[in-house]
This record gives sequence, structure tokens and C-alpha cells, in this order.
Amino acid sequence: MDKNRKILISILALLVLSAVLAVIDISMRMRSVQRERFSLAVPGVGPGVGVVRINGPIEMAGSEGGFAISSGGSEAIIQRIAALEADSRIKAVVVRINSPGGTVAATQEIYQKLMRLRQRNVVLVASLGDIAASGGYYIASACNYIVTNQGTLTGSIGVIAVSPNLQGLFQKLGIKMNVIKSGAYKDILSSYRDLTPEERELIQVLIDSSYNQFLKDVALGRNLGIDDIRPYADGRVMSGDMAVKYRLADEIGSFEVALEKAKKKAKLPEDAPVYDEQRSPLDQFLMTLEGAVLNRSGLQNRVMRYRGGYMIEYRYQP
Amino acid sequence: MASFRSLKWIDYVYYILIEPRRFARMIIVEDARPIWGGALVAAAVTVCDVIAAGMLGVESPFFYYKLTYGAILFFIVLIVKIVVLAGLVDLLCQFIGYQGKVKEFLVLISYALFPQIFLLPVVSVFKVFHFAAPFFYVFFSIVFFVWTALIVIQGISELHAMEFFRAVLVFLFPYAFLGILSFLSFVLVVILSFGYVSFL
Repeated sequence: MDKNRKILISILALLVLSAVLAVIDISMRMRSVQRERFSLAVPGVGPGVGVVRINGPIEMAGSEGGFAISSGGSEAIIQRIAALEADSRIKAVVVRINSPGGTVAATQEIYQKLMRLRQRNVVLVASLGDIAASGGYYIASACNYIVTNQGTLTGSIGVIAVSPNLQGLFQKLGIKMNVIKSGAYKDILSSYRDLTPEERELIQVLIDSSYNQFLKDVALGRNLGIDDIRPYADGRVMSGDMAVKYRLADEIGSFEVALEKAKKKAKLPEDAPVYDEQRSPLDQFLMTLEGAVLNRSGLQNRVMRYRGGYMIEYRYQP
Repeated sequence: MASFRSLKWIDYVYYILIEPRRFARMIIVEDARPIWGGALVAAAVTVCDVIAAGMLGVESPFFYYKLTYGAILFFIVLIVKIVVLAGLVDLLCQFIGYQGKVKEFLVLISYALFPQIFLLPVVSVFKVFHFAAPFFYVFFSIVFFVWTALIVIQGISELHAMEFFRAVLVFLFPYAFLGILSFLSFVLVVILSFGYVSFL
């Protein structure tokens, strides 16, 4: 073997040795750091409490994000409840509500889904956030127990349908609408003309029907008579302590209090795991990006406020 | 096994480091047979780079995944880079009237990566002495890349009996081509993103 080959083989051997030493060095530093800085995080296992979060206006579809991330929407909430229902570890559910209400059908669907869970002997505890008014309270009433903050805006039991009357403005601008309709009431609550007394009566029947259903469901959920609720079911909003006073809520407390109550009622140990909603890091990143874009362009307000036509809603509208 | 025992591969390493032109002449004569040796060099470069980068900070146990599965991924990426580079260099050579020698370019470029293996011992030295290891990691990455580039340029020059500066231009062509392509793609993505956001 000539000299050059020997030198090169020695160099290659040294390279391999340096690689091995480097890996050993990295491994040793890794272990010592682990002891000092890291502790083993054990994921929640066993029977525990599930969390359902209801944020913002309640609508059937919710808002479809610009980056294909759907947020809210009664269907997403019902899916979450169904997932908890199918999970044998879930012995209690805390429904965290921060909503002014929303459309009648979407609210009723969530209420029905929660009632079904309640009938399966899963303990339901509602925790009210900033606001749980109208449809937000409707959903809370499906729970066995309602925990509210003192400053929560709640109540607002009632139904509302709002449509702007722009007839005067149209006349001023000289705009006339051509309407060809199949029936007298097809353009009911149109913004370009006044409401006739017959139409008003028709809408009122709808409103009353939804209102009576609201009262019936709240009475059922709260184990009260309809007449016990009716005096406060005039659309008034109330604070948390007033709601407790009128028996529309059970206790003043925070989200943690609601969790403790759920564990206690489900006879779970204090350290039972809590299964909260989780989004993947990618979803969180896309939602942050979407929020930044919408906020910067002021689009969010426009998107949230715009409605094509009228709706009959269980919603608190200050 | 017989070719391994013959220590011919040591000669390839020797010539690629010391006499790249002679290495180029060898691969013409041997019809680019040491191609598997080139793949081994690429694998060694990948492993050494992962370890060298791991030495710069404090690693978590995820390091072992980087050293195994991660290294396999980086190796595949490196092989793709070599193939693209060799393909583009050969394309340009044929375009300007030279004979196609893509196999020789594949061997040349993969062996030319060999100096980058030295990054690991160099970074280890600076790490042991706690002296600006990240800076020297970047610095020697550039130095060894330039060394690799010089080997490839001399190899191109020898393979096609081309002037040195012409070989430099041929070597730079893939980088310029991919750079322009990346820039235009970036501009297109930005325009599409703005269009999409304004549509929201």
C-alpha cells in the first residue's frame, strides 16, 4: 500500500471516529439537559370531563374561514358533542358559552343534542362567559347545572326578527322595485315597503311560536314551570347574580368552578382529566393568519354584520 | 467486494481532493463505474451534516430521528439535487455543442461533495474549544462549498476540454436558472396570495 493511500485511510478513520464522538457528545448533553429542564408530560387518560365551547353568534354553518378553516357553526358544535357522546371516558361535559344567541333552528339543534346527552346520564354543566343571552341561555338551559359569572350578561329570553324599512330612502332616491310574486306574502319583510297589518300578524304568529318553544324548553331544562319563568322572559337581560336569584342559574363561579362541579356531580376524582377541544398547530396558524388578514382589512366586521334578508332569531341585540 | 479490497475507491477520493482533472480523466476511461461510490459519498455528507448541525445547540431525543429517518430524507433530497444539477449542466453543454456526458457529471458532482464531510471535524474542534461554533459552521460550509464548486468546474473543464472560465459559466448556469425560476414562482405566489386575500 503506498503512502498516499495510508494517509487517506487514516483521515477517513479519523472522520468516522469524530462522527462517533460527536454523536456520543450530543447524547450525553441531551440526557443531562433532560434531567434539568424537562419533565414527562403524561396525556390525560381514563374517565374525565369533556369541554364544548360555543363562541359567537350561533348559526347553522358558522363562518367558513378564508383558509378553509371552519369556525363555530352549530354543525361543528353538534359534531363535537357527538364525539364526546361516543367517547366512553366522558362522564361529564362542561359547556362553555360565550354567545349572544343566534338563529332559531341552529340553537334548537344544539339544545336537542345536549338534552339527548343528558338523558344518557352524562352530567352537563354550563359555564357562562361574557355573554350567554337569548339563544346562548337557551343552550345553557339544557344542562343539569348552570354556573355563571357575576358579570355575565344572560337572560334575554325572547325572539326577534329585524328588517330595515328603507321605503322612504327608496322614494327619495327614486328607486322602484319590480316584484313578480306567486303569493301575497312572498316578499314579506322586504326592505323596500312597509309591513301590512296582516303581514305583521303573520310574523307575530311565527315569533310567538318560537317564543313558546323557548319557554317550554327552558322550563324543561331547569325543572321549573312555564309560569315561573314567564315574568322574566320578556327579553330583559340580567347579570349573573340576578339570574341565580330568578332561578335561571344555579351558582356564581368561574370556568374552573364549573369543572369542579362537573367532576363532583359525576363522582369523578378531583384530578380527573379534562378533554378540551384541540386544534392542530397548522389549524391554529392558519386561523391566526386569517384573523390578522380580516382584522387588518376590516373585513371581519363586514362579514359578521352583513345579512342578506331577515332572520327570526333567539338573539340579544343591544 | 473485490473492488473494495483493491482500494481503488481510495484513489478516487485522493484524486477528487488533490487532482480533480485526473479524476475526471479516470471516470471517462472507466465509463463512470464508480457511481455507487458517489452515492456513498452523498450519504456520508448527509450524516456528517446532520451531526454537525446537532452539535451547535442542545438536542432533544428527536435528534435520533433526525439522524436516522431525517438523514434518509436529506439523502434523497441531496440525490435529487445532484441529478438536477448534473442534468442541467449536461443540458447546457449539449446546447452549446458538446457531447452528452450526464453519467460522468453524476459521478463527478457526487464525489465533489466529499470536502463537505470535513465540516464535522472542523465544527467539532470549535465546539470543544467553545469558540463561535455556529459562525464557523456557516463559514466553513461556504468554504467547502467553494471547494466542491472548484472540483466540479475543473471536472467539467476536463471532461469537455473546455476553458476554465467557460466551465465556470456552465457550472453557474443551473444556479442561475433555478434562482430565476424560484424568484418567478415566488412572485407568482405573492400575486396569487394578494388576489386571494383581496377576494375574501
